[in-house]
Amino acid sequence: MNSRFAVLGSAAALAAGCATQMPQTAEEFRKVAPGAFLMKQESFEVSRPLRDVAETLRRRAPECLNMTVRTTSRTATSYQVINTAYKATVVPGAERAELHLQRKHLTGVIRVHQEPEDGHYLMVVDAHRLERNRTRIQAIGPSRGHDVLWRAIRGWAAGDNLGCPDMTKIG
Amino acid sequence: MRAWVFVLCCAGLLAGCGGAIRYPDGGEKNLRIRTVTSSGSAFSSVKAVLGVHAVDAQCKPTYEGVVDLDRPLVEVGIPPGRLSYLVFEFASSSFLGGSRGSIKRETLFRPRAGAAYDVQVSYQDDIYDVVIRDRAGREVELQGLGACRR
Repeated sequence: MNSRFAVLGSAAALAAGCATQMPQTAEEFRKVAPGAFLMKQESFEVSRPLRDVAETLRRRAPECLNMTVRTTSRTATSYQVINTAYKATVVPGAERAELHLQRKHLTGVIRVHQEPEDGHYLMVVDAHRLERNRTRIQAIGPSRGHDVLWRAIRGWAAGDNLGCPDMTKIG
Repeated sequence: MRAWVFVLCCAGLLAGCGGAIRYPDGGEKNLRIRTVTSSGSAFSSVKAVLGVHAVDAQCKPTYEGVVDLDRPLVEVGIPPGRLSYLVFEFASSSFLGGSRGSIKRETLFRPRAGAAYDVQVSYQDDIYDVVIRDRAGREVELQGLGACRR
């Protein structure tokens, strides 16, 4: 991981909290994050029924995203080690399936806000059931430094790429 | 003469310190591994390897060695009937920034006697996957070491 993106990611998390309070639930994140600095919202449709999309999220998200990543960055004057834990939660439902991804910096990053126990919300993905076996995906997450995560989510939703994102490559 | 001794000693040291222990791989080749890797950039590279561990009755893994997945097709023999722990590791490095990283996909694996398996290993543009299928095309579920005690 690039330390620049760690800073960006942390800044995005801070911005998502609007310097007042960090979102403590996925629902708070949905309300606050879309307009925040360094955050974005994507919406697209896939030609798969919700149950298939939900099943893919249920299978892939925990095994691909639940992990601790250790990153180091070195400059002429400093050496930094950051240990980061990621936690994915999938909430299935008849009309909507949700994926929440939280990130907790275990070492190397100072927290200035009260975080949820499993870390701040990094991304929330909602899959909504549509007619004719289609599903609408609405995702909110960082706009910079997390491209591989966005691509993995799109692949899981469409069912055309079930690979895992290399979490060492995100901010 | 002394120069030659010095050169031979250096060569011996280099050979001995050349990296990880090679997996002995003496048995019947029951794992056919097809690997595709691409870092997606001319300034970085990615290397895939397979670490093989034996797992005993107490679920304790013992490292047996590593297999380089540096060719499109590599065949490996994993002892049938015995529980093994396979660790597929993707190590990426950037030539410009000097950054390095590695990520792993792990699974317990007990091949059936007489059976053979196809493994698809891929790392493309920072997305990786490992899929194991038996020759009938059935996918073998990947399970972490924690599943050993279940």
